[in-house]
Parts: sequence; structure tokens; C-alpha cells
Amino acid sequence: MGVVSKAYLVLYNAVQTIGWAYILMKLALHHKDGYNPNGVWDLIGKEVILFQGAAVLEIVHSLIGIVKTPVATTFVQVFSRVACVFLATIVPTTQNYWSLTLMLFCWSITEVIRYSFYALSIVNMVPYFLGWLRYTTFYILYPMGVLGETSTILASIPFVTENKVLTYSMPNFLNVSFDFAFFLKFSLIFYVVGLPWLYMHMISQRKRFIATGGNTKATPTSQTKKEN
Amino acid sequence: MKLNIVTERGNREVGVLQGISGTTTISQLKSTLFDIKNKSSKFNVNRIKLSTGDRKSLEDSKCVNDYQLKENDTLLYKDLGPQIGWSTVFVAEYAGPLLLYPVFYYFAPIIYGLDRPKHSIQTVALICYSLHYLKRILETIFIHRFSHGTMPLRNLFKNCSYYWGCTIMVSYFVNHPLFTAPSQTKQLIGLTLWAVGEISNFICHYQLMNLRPPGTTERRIPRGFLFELLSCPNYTVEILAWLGFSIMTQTLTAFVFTLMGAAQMWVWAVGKHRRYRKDFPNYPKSRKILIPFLL
Repeated sequence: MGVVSKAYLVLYNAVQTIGWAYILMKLALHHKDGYNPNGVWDLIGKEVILFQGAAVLEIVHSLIGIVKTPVATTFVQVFSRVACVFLATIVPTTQNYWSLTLMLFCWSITEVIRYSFYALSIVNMVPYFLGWLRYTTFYILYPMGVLGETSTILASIPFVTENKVLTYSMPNFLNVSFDFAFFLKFSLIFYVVGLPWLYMHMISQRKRFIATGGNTKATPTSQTKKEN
Repeated sequence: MKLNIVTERGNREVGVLQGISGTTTISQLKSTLFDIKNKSSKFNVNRIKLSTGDRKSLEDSKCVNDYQLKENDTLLYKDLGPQIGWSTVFVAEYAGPLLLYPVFYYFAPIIYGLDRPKHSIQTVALICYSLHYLKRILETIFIHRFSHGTMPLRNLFKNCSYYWGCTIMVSYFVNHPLFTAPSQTKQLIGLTLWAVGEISNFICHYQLMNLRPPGTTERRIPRGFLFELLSCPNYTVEILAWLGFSIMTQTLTAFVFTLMGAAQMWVWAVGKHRRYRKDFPNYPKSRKILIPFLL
């Protein structure tokens, strides 16, 4: 990997780390007097849109080949996240709902660990503890995140149905219709199928991490492309 | 002579084949391997891939001398996983559309909660769609001669989800009670394109059948009709037929299905065109891939 793309990736991952740390901090401060889902989106919605939106760049990174992760994998990950952010933006009933808070807590903790791990792994400076966190926290954060995301989707459906959000009906000259509420229900199937599959994948990644004694260069998905 | 077999990944020993001669075919090597592995289903002849250092699969019909194998040479073995016959996959993937498409036509009141009289073009579309897949099934059974015996089992799931899913996607909208029919001119143009496409497609398949003597996997240069212009006219006319279907129903999902099919057929056609050119030095230079005189 060239110096320029290396420097760029370190910068990108560092900025994302800071961004999500900021979100996490605001979220935590909001809850300093106990659980309170009200006003969460008003408080950090803009920041979440900005940093999660920026993650679309990861699809580009994958496309131009500066990171090794397959384009399809990156696309699915980023797309589902962006879709949830989009949903929170357009459906007010999700914005003060408990699941949005849960979802954002899971995301921000995961992202702080993940992005700092990436940034440091490019310059070969990952402390073992950070790697351990990256390959351990998913045990709890991943199912919790999925619970948060799916509950947010479920919570949005009545509003979407009632207000015909993004719904296009027949008759029309191209004989096509789009039922956003149906699309949302359908998307839940992918969570049900995807959860165990990705969970097993993460477990095998963790095994590899432990087996190689934290040598991150041996873990393929986080590894950046080397020059041949 | 003696040949060693090791795994392609990891170089673990699989077995040693004894008493091989220069005229032993690759397929005989595979059966021998199957025998010395006590006929374990994991070593079913169709599941085995044998290769040399370059990992390119050795062809079943070729023999040991063709690959200049010598005493004590090593072959790489790979398990291709559970296999399934091509015809089985084809019949399964085409049976889905044949059964699923009419469901939306006949059970419209239950599915859409609306009961409206059918437009004649919706009935025509049902006939066209069904005829296409009926034709595909009959061709699979009576016309096609496959050059490969089997494919990986997971292809069955992949192909079936594609065809069955697309059928639901197309049929749901074409048979919708709120369907808007295009103008009669478009209907007529579409139907004509469809009919011309399907008939030409059958002619192409028939020509390909006659190209390959029964029971062999021999390959020759196709000649006559559209083959004079193109390497894969069977795909060209199939795309034409689906374009016709899309025009006569004027349904977005049908256009999308046509486009996806065309993209896939383009990939296949490019591959086939390259193989023709590589395998036959006298392959006509002027022949294009899918679009006459252009591409």
C-alpha cells in the first residue's frame, strides 16, 4: 500500500474514532442521571448522520482496493446502518424510542473500538487489549445492536403505514408499486438469517485472533492490502 | 507407472495410484481413486477435481500422456463438494416459474384483496410465460446435451431462488388488478418480438444439439442461420423474447428481469466466444458475441 493511501486511511479511521467517541460521550452524558430515551435523536442525530453517512466512503475504499474487505460485505454492513439512520430521520416515532438509544449505544461503543483498531493496525501499533476488545465485545454488543435495530424498524412500521411514507401505488404506466412498510417487514428476515451467520463468523475470527496471539496481520478482514 | 495424489490445499496425502499407463484417461484415474478410497461418497467421481501445479482442472476425456505425466508425479486433488446433475437443476429451476406464475393469475382476489376482470394481455402474458418455461423443460430433457455432467449442489439453491424469486416479482405486478395495459401497438410489437425470439431460440438449440453427436462431449464450430453472425445467438434471441414480454406487459419488474438476464448471458457469451476462438484456430473472425456486426 502506498504512503498516500496509508496516511489517508489512518486519517479516515482516526476521524471516525473521534466522531463516534464524541457521540458516545454525548449519549453517556445524556444518561448521567439514569435511563432517558427522550431527546436522544435531537441531541446526536446530526452527528450520527454525519459519521454514519461518511462510512459510505468504506464502500469506495473497498472498490478502489485500498482495503481488503470484499465490496459486497462492506456494502451490506454500511447499507443496513444507513437505512436505520434514514428511518430515524424520517420517522419521528422512533426518535424517542428505547431501541434507538440501545442501537446508538451499541454502535458508538463498537465503532470507537473498531476504528481505533483499524487506525492503529495500519501503522502496526495495536495494543493487545484493543484487539481483544475488538474480538470480544461483539458477544454482547452484536445481539444488542440487532435488537436495537430490529425494534427500531418494528416501531417505525405503524407510522410508515399510516402516512404512506415512501409508498408508491398502482395504477401507473410502469405497473410498479412500492410498499415501504412491507419492505421493512421483509428486511427483518435478513436480520434473523444474518445474525447467527455473522455471529459464527465473528467467533471464528476471535478464535484466530486468540490463536495467533493477537497478531492482527493474520486476521484477514481487518488486514489492509499489501503491495505485491 | 505410479502417481501420487495430494490435496490441493495443504498438500496432505490422499493416496497412491498404481499400475497407470500412458493411455489411462483422467476419468479412469478418478474411478481408481474412488475404489482405493473404499468407494466413499466423498470420492464420488463427479466430486473430484484433479490438477497439476497450475491448478487447472484436468479434462476427464484426456489421458495421462496428454498431460505428459511421468512416473512418481504428483496430482492435486480437490473435493468439489456434493454434486447434482445439470438436468435436475434445470428442471427444478424452471418448474418453479411454471407453477408460481399462474398462482397470481388465478388467485388474484385472495392475494390482492381485489377482484377485477382480467385484461386480455394479462392472459396472453400468462400463456407466453408458461410456454417459455415449458419449452425450457422439454429442451432440457430432449434437446440439450450437456458437456459437464454435474455442478455443485449449492447451485440448485442459488438458481432456484433466482428464477422463483424473479417469477414472483414479475407475476405479482403483471397480474395485479390495478394493472394498466400498454397501447395495442406496443402489445403487438411485444408479442411479435417474443414469438420471433422464442422460435429462433428453439432453432439455435436444435442446431447446437445436432452439433454434438449423442453420448459425447465433443465440441465443434456451430454453423448456419444466426450462428454465421454470432457466437451465442441463442442468448441474443432469448433476450429479444424477454424484451418483447416486457414491452407487451409494460411492467418495470419484467424489464429489470430482462436486464439481469441479459447481463448474465453477456458474461456467459463472452466466455464461450473466447473458448471458441482459443480452441478452433479456424474460427470465423467476423463472428461477434451477442449483437450482429457490433459486439
